Amino acid sequence: MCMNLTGTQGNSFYKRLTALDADNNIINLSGYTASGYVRYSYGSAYTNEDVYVTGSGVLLNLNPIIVSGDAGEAFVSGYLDININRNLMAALPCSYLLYDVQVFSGENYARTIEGGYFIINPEVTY
Amino acid sequence: MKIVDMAQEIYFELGQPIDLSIPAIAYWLRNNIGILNNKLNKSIVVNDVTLEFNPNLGEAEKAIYKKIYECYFYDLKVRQTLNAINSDSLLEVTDGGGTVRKINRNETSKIYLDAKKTAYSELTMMISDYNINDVGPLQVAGDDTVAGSFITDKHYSIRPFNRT
Repeated sequence: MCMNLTGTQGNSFYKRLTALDADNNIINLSGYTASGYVRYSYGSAYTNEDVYVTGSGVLLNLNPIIVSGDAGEAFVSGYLDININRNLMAALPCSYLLYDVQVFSGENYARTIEGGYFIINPEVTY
Repeated sequence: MKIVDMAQEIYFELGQPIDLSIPAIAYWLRNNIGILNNKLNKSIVVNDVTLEFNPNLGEAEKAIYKKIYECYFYDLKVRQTLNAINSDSLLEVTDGGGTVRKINRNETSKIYLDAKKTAYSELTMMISDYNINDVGPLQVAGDDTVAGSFITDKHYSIRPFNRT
């Protein structure tokens, strides 16, 4: 639930996550959707008047992909892949950024499967 | 200067500590610009889009901000040492003729505290110097640029209504 990721500006980034439920069992992700963002701070989606603005303050959409396999047989693995290309990584500032990845099922179920700092190291070669 | 460059300078000047990294310093610099603003009476902010300082720091401001970070660094070391004392109070173990003596964390924290005091006194002097050098004339708001009028036939007195 709390895992820091480390990447470098301008390098592509790949990470495979495993979705676990509260009892540490792997979640069968069939029928699930997934979402994940990188933000500078928890409050960066809010205006100074404390109004939430959807999509505001997002530095990067992690766009986690649920690994399904050829015939959906991989849903049971609980795997999610994060794959970020080098151009998107180059645009991130060198800092400790915040991220989390959530899975959703139906209208009411949501679970944060991983979150923490996304540590971005600087690059020299652009 | 970009924040990451300042972070790199700080990292190098602190002796490249193994428990510190450039992203961690950059993160701190972005989140604590208010300290510098308070010290120097400035209004520097972090741009929401570029995540860089706006306006950019000059060389003098940068030097002071780096010194502020140095104070924070030693303060952090003191706190880390104090936390370690709570979890590991053992100082010396003697058994079967052999003795193992561990680092006295109390002494270590004193060394860090001294280093912090030194850094803080340097910071105070730097701020004083900055304020002296930064002093400029304030605008004089008044009507002294308006030409005065004189009663030209009474050259003997510039105060014609002074009857004493």
